[in-house]
Amino acid sequence: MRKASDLEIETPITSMIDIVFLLIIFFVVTSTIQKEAIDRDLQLAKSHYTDPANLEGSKVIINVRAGPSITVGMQRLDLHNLKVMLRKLKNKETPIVIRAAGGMTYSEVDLVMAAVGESGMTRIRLAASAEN
Amino acid sequence: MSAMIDIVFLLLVYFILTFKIEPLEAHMTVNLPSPSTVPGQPPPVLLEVKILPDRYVLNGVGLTLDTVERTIDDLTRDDRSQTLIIKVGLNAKQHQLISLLDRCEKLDLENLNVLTLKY
Repeated sequence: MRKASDLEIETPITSMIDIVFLLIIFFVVTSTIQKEAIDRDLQLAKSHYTDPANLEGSKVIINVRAGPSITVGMQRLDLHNLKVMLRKLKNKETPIVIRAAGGMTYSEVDLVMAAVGESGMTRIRLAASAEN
Repeated sequence: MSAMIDIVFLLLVYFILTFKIEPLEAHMTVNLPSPSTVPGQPPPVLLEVKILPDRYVLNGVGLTLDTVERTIDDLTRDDRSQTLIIKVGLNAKQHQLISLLDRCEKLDLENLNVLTLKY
């Protein structure tokens, strides 16, 4: 014979839990994709006088670490693939944001900047941390 | 209902743990040389700053970042639209360039051209 407390647990909410699980899976998948556009572990040089920029909007964000190791979105690229990717962009006015680590030697950043320039892109921006 | 509340708590905990504040970033606009391999006309040099690993050189005089800023401020007081050419040495550090661009932003200079020194 069942007790009253056993019956209470069997309220039919399993379908709702299914939906909540689906929601959880959705958020897990989408949030990781968004996070990868910006390499958060990258130590940018600090700026004190430049106004913070809007991170939204259509722009290509290139993360550069020493090596140079280049990541765009979730993809790791070499210089050649970076050029190929940028040449495919139809709008050459698309802003290109180069997020290079502050401690990097300029010669490595120059390789990336040269590749971007050679691809015909005209609007280039260098990222710095605006947090004081 | 307790199972559903558990799930909702799990969701809440998940979003609290994964929440990250958007980092504040400044994006500095620079001009790069045109991609053509043919050497063009050298631009009329108004102001030229070289960035070397240990110092900044403004029109041939070695200076610190603060003195560079003050000198550029004096030289561009009448016309902030002057072209500033920044030549960066291959061994210089990225943060030196960013610091200089930051000071230029402070002075409202807009025409910043970044070139690379081949040494």
